[in-house]
Amino acid sequence: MKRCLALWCVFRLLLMGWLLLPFNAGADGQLHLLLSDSGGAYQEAAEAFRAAYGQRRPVRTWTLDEVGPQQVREWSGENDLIVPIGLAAAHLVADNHVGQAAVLTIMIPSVSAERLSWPAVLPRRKISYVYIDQPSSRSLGLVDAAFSQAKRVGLVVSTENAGNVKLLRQEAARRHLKLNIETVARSEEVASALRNVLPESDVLLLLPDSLAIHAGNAKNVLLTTYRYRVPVVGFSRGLSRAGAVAAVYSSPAQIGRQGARMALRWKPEAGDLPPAQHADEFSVDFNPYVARSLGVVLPDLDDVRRKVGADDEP
Amino acid sequence: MVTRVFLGLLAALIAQAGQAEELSEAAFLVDLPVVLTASRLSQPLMDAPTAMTVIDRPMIEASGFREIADLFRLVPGFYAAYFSGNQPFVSNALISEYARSMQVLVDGRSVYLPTIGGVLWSALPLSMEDIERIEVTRGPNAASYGANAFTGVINIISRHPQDVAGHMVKLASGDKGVRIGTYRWAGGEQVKNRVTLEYRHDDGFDGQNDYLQAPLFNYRGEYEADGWDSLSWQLGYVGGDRGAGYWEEKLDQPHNKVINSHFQQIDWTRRIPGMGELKLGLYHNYTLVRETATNALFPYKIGGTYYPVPAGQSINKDLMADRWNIEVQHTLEPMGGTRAVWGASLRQDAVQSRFYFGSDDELNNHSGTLFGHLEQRFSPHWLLNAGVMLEKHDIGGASTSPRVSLHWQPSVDHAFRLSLSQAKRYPVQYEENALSVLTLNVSLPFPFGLTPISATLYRSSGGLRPESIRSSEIGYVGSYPGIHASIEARLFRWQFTDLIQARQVATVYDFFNRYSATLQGGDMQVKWEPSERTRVIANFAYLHTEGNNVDFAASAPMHQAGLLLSQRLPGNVMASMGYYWTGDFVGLGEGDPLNSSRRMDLKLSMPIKTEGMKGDVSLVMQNLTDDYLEFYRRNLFTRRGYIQLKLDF
Repeated sequence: MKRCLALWCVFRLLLMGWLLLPFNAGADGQLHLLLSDSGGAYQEAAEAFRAAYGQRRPVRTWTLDEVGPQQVREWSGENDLIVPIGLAAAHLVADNHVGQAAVLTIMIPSVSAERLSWPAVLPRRKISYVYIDQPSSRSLGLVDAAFSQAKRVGLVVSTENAGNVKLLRQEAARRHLKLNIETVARSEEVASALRNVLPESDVLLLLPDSLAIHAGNAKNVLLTTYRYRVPVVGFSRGLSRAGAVAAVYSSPAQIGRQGARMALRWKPEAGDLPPAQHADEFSVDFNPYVARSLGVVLPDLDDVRRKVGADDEP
Repeated sequence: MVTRVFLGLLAALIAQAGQAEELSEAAFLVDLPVVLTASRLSQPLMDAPTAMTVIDRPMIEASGFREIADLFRLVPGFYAAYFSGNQPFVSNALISEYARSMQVLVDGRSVYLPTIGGVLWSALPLSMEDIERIEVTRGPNAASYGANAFTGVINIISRHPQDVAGHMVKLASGDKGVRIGTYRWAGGEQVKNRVTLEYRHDDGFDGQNDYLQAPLFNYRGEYEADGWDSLSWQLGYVGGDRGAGYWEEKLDQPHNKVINSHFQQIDWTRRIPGMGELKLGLYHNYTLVRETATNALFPYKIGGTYYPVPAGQSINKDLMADRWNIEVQHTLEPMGGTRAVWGASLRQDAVQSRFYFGSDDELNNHSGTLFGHLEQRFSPHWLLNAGVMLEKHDIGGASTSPRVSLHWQPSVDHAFRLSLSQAKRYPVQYEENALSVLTLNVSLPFPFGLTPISATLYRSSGGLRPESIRSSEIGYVGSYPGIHASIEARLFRWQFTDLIQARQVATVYDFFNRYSATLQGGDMQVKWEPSERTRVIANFAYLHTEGNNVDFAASAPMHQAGLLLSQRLPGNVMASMGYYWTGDFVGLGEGDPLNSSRRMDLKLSMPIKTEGMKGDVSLVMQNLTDDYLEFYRRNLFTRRGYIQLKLDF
């Protein structure tokens, strides 16, 4: 009887071992891509990441609905690299991180990244990001390259973009551009802010902002700028299609590749990550129909791309 | 029923409104619907099939004008003047006070009167403060705008509630009894509203009974859904009294007119993924002018003896116009470089006036249109614009108005245009169905006493055809970014046939399609902005007119010129100067021979800015040069000025 019981225990251990095998194979140094959503943009970023990362280490891909807090806690206890893609995945990881695993969040707005709360015991060198937004040098570089006559750049933001505004001021001073900035405390103030900014601006630069410029009011913002006959520089391909005369943005694939390049510099033993970055690759788009209607003469798109260092990839 | 459908739509659209949340990557990845669709994009001047002038808000502010009609002094070849102190009119080419040859639209709503034609400018329920810009087509464009877009089209676009959110108060006072008070509020979250209340008073010309007293109300609501629909609705009213009549006119002694003019308009726009944009618009205009003139004492000859016609007898001239219009329009881009618009409209015009039409019955005119336009860019250098309008009216029958223009754009800064166009002006009810019979009592000896006598003033034979115009035009639009200047110039030739004119047959006037005319000319406008502080707009027009009516040759000034200069001075003080010069001419209808005239206006605005409030105090001086005549000898325009306070908060 005792023998049967021993055999049963061995069998159970073997069974558990077999069941756990896939999860623990290569226990250290795994990469977990955690997609905020199963949608196309997240898949595009993940695929680009995997393709650029190669076979250096095992890469496993999850979506948010497949993973719970417990799973994240287990990953964070290993010498793994967790790669949340997007804000929702980043929140799940930040809220449940209990160990020392490094976290490289990609495709996240810089202002949202700053607000994430990480455990105090997790060294900051083990946390990094690939931002979805663009550095000020690129945005204003595009203004310079595409609107050579423009000297006054309008901006409507909330206080959440205070850091970005500081960088933009420095960049604008370097380029001899004048920034007309209106800061709003509530979404309802955007219309009056635009009324103050637009008459004194040659170009309106849009910065993503949960209060000032977001999907809910993008339409009204574009219509208003059009009525004021002021061209808009946007931060996404969607904005360019919707009515922004020019846009500079990094695609999910470009961000995914940047994440892979950073992950290749990560070693499980130390766990350190390179500092937070914007994607090296980015794209520039024009909306020639809106430009023409506004009487804006745009230079050749390829010339502008070359000038600002953008990739041709749409 | 219409109200129920409207409210239901509104509620459904409001329910879709989204909420702001923490900024995520979604803001970058979201596939926004195309906001600035082909139909929303105004055509750049370089691509416009006909010559155009845009009067924008800074021009309106700089001009210092108080009446909308005056703004058209800024348009090359256009003549804006006053038939009486409260009856401005805008005309070009064959100038007459009825100004029937021009279509006028406010946010797409035609305000051309079906009764006697033209536009009753002082009865437009629209404040100057609510105008965003005015696009003026300086030639025929019936292919786009339908009947009566004959020698020009004025397209007034009102200000979006979002652009004027907050409160605005304007108070003005000056010579000639000028008093203006305007209050506007605009705001709202998902539904944006703009409400304007205004009162205007003006004594008119010296020695004339042509005062203006015009209370006005205007409302515009806008709902832009996040998805695919948008809804716009407007209504407005203008009323008040107007002085009319003249001491020297025995049948038109000084009296009052009472105006009741209102409109309602609703436009629904739906974007259809991959299929462009569909717009459905419905509007209603109503204008009632209540007017009872009186006569002076005058002798009436019967059988060689004169008998007195006692003064003070009533001559009722009430005139009502009522219009319903529905239009559907589909804008699409079937392929890259091609933009197309097509649609249809139905209209009913009802008019009523015993004085003008001889009975109390309503006269109706139904009309329908079917139109299509295509803009095809073959290459960066070549663009073709083509359009056609098919229409049918109860009065005047069916017609086709085609238009084609070919544009050669050798570089992004220069464009040349060759345009050919045909257009129609349909007869208005008065031309087709006039029956003006005047009945007064003459005092005869006993036993007859007061005995009614009647005289027919106008009687239309009817059966009029639409007037026709063939236009050929060569145009140039050039931009000179190095010196911050642009030029728009053209040469044109207009051939009119079947022109309708009133002619006296025996003692009665009738309308005939007997006349033709040829107009040749050229005009140009130059804009120069040497700095952010300075703006110069200059225009010049030359016109040579000839025709088979002896009155035609002198019916428009051969030369016209204008200059609008605005300068921002230190302390943000704005100074502007308008100078307008018009050559001699004799307007058709009742126009008097006019010598060439010049007029110079000055405006000085001092800004006011305090916490939560900004505005300005302005001094406007009009006609700093010699007095001149506005269309009639009795309309002497003397130097005058007014002070205005405007605050936004």
